[in-house]
Amino acid sequence: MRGASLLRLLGRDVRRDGSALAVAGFGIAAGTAALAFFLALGLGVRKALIGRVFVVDQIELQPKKGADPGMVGLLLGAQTPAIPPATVDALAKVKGVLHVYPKLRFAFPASAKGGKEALGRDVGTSELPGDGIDPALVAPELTPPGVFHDPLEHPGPACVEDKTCAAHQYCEKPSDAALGACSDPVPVLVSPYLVELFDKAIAPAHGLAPIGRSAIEQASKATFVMKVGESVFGRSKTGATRTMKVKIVGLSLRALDLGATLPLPVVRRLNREYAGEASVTAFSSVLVQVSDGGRLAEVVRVGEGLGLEPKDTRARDVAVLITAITALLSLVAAVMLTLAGANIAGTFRTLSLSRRREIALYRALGASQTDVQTWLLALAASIGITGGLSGLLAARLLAAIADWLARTRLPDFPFKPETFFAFPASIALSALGVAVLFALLGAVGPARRSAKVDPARALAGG
Amino acid sequence: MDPVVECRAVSRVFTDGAERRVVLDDVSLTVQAGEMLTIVGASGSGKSTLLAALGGLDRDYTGEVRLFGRDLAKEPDPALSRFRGRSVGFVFQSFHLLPHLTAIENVLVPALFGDAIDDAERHAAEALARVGLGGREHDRTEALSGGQRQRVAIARALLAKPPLLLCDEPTGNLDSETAASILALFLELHRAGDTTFVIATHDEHIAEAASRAVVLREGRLQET
Ligand SMILES: Nc1ncnc2c1ncn2[C@@H]1O[C@H](COP(=O)(O)OP(=O)(O)OP(=O)(O)O)[C@@H](O)[C@H]1O
Ligand SMILES: [Mg+2]
Repeated sequence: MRGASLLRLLGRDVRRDGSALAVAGFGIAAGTAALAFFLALGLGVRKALIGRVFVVDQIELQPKKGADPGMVGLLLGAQTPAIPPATVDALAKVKGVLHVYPKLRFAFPASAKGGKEALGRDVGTSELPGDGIDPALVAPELTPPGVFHDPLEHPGPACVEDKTCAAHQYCEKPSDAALGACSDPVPVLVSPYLVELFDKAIAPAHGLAPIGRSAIEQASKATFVMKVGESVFGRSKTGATRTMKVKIVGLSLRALDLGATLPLPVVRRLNREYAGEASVTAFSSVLVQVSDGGRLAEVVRVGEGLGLEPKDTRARDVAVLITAITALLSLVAAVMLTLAGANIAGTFRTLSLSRRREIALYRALGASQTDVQTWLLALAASIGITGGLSGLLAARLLAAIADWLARTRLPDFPFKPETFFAFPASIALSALGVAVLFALLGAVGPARRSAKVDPARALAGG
Repeated sequence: MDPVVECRAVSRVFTDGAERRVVLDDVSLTVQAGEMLTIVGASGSGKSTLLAALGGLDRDYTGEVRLFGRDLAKEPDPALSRFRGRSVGFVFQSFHLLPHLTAIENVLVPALFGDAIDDAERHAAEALARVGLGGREHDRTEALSGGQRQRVAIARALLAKPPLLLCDEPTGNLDSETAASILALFLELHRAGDTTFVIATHDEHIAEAASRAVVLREGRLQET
C-alpha cells in the first residue's frame, strides 16, 4: 500500500476512534513508563555505586583462607601466607588483565592521629590497617603523577629527632639505627569510600566540616602522625615504637577501603624493621584490573589454581543484586506491557468486528489481504510509538520528581548520588521498541483475521 | 478478443454443518464486451452468489470463471485484488458507503489501494458530476437521500473507469421514480462507452431495457 494512502487511513482512524485508540495507547504508555523507569533506575543506581563505591573491573585476590592468621595471629608471630612474585607474573598473563597491583600489608601494628590544619581538630584511629602499593601503578591516576612516592628517594640531612629537621619534615630513624634522615611526610592514598564515609557519617557526628571528594587538596594540607610498632592491639615483637609524618595525597580505588595505602618501598622498609626479611617480598594480596567485568571469572579461576581466593566479592554481589532487582522490576513492567498488549488485542478485535463490512468493502474495491493487515498493523505500531513516547516522557518526569524528592527530603548518606537514574539512548530505544513490539503482538491476531474476512459474505449482510 | 465474462460449469455449495446447499448448479455464462446483461430470479435463487463469483469476491466455487481471459481461481490474492480494484466496479443494493466520509471521499476509496490513479480528485469530481451530484462533493453521506447515496456508490464504481460493472440489485432499496433515474444513468453510461454491465435485479424495467437477460432458478441458469 502506498504511504500516502496509509497515512490517510490512519488519520481517519484517529478522527473516528480516537478515544478507543487512546485508551489502548494508555496501557502501552503505562507499561513503557514502568519499563523505562525501572531500567533507568537500575542503571542509575549501578552507575552511582559501581566505580564510585564498588569497582567491578578489578578484584583483589589473597591467599586462601585458613592460611591467614589474622591480626591476632600476626601479633603472635605467625607467618603471613604470601604471594610470590611468580604468581603475580602468572596473573598478569591472563587474557583481559590490564594491570596487577601487588599489595604488601602492614606486618606491624599502627595508629594515626592528626588533621587539625585541615579539619579544625585532630581526628585519628587507634588501629590503622595499611598496605603498600607500587607507586608506578597508580601514578597515571594522580595529579601530579609523581606525588605518591618514597620520600627517602630524596633524603634530607642526618638527624636523631624531629626537631633537627625542617618544620614540615620528620626524622626517619629506624628502630635499630643510630642516625636517621630528615624526610618529607610519607604520601598516603585513601579510598574514596573512606572519604565518603568520613563526610557523610563521621564528620557530622563529630561536628567536623566534610572534606569532600573534590576538596581532597584541603586534606593534603594536613599532616597526620602515624605511630608504628604499637596499636591498641598491642606491640610489635621486634622494633621500637616510633612516629612518622604522613600526608594524604590523593584518592584511589586501588587504595585500601578502610586504611592507608603507602608507597611500596616504605612498607617494605617498615615490614623488614618490624617483622623480618620474610615479610618484605611476600605480597599479602594482588589487585587485578581487567578490561571488563566479564573477565573476572577467568581471573578468579586462574587465581584458584595458584592458591588464591577473592578477598572481597562485594562489588560482584552488588552488581548481581542490582541486576536481579532490575530484572525483577522489568518483569513487572513486562507484565504491564503484556496486559497492554492484551488490551490492544481486545480493542482491535472490537474495532475489526465493527469494521467487518468496511474491510470487506475495501477488499471489494481493490485492497489485498496484505493491504488490510498493513493498515491495521500500522495503526497498532502508531499506537505503540505514541504510547511508547508518552511513556518515556512520563518515566523521565517521574525520575525527575523522584530525584527532586531524594534531594530535598532524604538525609545525606554516604555516596548519595545527584541522580538515581540514567537515561541513555539505548534505554529510550529499547523501551520504544518493546512498546511497538507489544502493540504489534496484540494486533497481529485481529489484523490477520480481519484480512481473512470473506468479502462476499460480509457485504451480503444487507 | 476474450469475452469479458466466461463462466464454465460453475457450482457453489454452502455447507452448514451436515447440511449441504447447492446454490449455483453447473452455471455456464458468457458475456461479451459492451453487453448489458441482467440476471433475474426469485429471492434466494443465487444471484448475489453468482455476482460474488464473477467479481472474484468468492472463489470457493467449482468450475471456471474467467474475467477478460484471466482465470480468477488461479490468481494470487494481491494480483486478484489489484485487478479487481481497476477492472471491476461494484454497485451494491445497500450502497455500502462509509458514513464517516464525505461524498467525494467515498468516491476516492478505490484510489487508496493499488497503483495511484492520476488526477484521482478530478476524476472523482467528474464522476460525481456525471451522476448528477456536482456541488455535493463535500456533503456527509448521511445528509444524502437514498437515490443520491446510490449515485455516490455508482460514481465510486466509475472512478477507475473499469470496463466491467457488477451491480447487485442497484435499485432494490429505491422508490420507483428514483429507480428509474438510476436506470436512465446506467443506460446513458452504457451508450456513452464500452462498459459491460452485469446487473442482478428484480426490477423488470431494467430487465426490459437490457440487451440480454438470464434467469436463475434454484441455482440453474436459463436464457430467456
Ligand atoms: N455464506 C453463505 N452461507 C450459507 N448459505 C448462503 C451463504 N450465502 C448465500 N447463501 C444461501 O444461498 C442462497 C442464495 O443466496 P443469494 O444471496 O445468492 O440469493 P439472491 O438471489 O441474491 O437473493 P436476493 O434476491 O434475496 O438477494 C440463499 O438460500 C442463501 O441462504
Ligand atoms: Mg442478493
